Amino acid sequence: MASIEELSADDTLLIAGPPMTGKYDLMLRLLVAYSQQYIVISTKNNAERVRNDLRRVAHEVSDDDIGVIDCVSHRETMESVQDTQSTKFVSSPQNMTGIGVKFTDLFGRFHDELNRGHTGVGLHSISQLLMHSDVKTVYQFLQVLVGQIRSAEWLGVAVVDTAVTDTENFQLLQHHFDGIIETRESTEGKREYRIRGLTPVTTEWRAF
Amino acid sequence: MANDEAPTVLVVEDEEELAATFERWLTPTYRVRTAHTAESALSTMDEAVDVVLLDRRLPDQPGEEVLWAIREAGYDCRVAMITAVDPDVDILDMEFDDYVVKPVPKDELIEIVDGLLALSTYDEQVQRSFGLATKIAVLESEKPTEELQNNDQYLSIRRELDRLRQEINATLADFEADSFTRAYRDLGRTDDE
Repeated sequence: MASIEELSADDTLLIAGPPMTGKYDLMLRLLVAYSQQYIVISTKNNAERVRNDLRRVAHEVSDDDIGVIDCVSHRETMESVQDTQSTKFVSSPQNMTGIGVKFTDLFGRFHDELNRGHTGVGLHSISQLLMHSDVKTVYQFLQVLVGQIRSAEWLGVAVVDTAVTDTENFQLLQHHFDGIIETRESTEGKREYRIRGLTPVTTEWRAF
Repeated sequence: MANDEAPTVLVVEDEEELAATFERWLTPTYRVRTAHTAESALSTMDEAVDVVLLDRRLPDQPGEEVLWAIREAGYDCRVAMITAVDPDVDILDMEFDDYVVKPVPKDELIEIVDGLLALSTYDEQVQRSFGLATKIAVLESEKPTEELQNNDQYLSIRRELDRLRQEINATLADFEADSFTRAYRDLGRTDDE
């Protein structure tokens, strides 16, 4: 039976569940468990927050080993934000071309220059992309992104909030991933997950 | 000579010797057409053309005009501009897919054509996969899982999508960093279709 302790470092995974079921924390945990370098595409938290959150989980990780594509700060601060080597800013989650082009920058740096270990890519979250663009464009974007992650045999972990995402859109987009990790809160208030797609049978719910 | 199934490349270049050289390089793999002026480029252009290699400087009109006319006519082809100098910011807004600075060595020319063709193949595959994934999503939201396991139409669409996804992964495996960037740039463009 598959569990989050038995994944492969080159899996591409979609974490799906309602709000407050620990999807973002689980994404960070998986990135840290299976890789040493991280690129996070963030539509919700700014780069500084993402770095702090990752450091909290990973303990010893140097700033250089974290790349962030921040789609938040530009809108929130209304000030001009400057790209650095490892932090890139995109005006809005709507600008998926911008996200992709800057991801390709970071991809080259992590793949060809740094290469100090396995890289894990986080995308938080698909729901936000869907709020700003039609499902076809998001589908095309994920096709390229997941394909690029696969081409390097990296880990990919994306998050989708099932409460705000149309069921049909969710069904459509999940085809891009090797496996789906569903999250929920149990009746006792515990966070649980189960995995679909990696094994012939969906796993039982387990606490995490 | 390339066979009838081979992709078609239109070379638009006023230096006849250079055009002939490009043609010689490309002929083993592709069907090649050649034009030396903007006017003949447009009269040679049709739906069958997959890639246009377009010189920026032509005797009758600038290459930009040809590019504009090709896009305006709605041809679904890839265009690489061939320029004598590095392009300035002013032409970056133009809808070409790639550019190359003269002199163009053989390897680079073939790499560019191959890269643009891979991108077209990729586009077409993704469009098809989106269609299949949409059908699957509709069936999944309409019918219970148990019923779908015995639904031939559903199962055959799923198999087709699985096959297509393997083809897409094979196409992506040949992508260079530039191809990924171009695929991301295409996101806005295919939006209108």
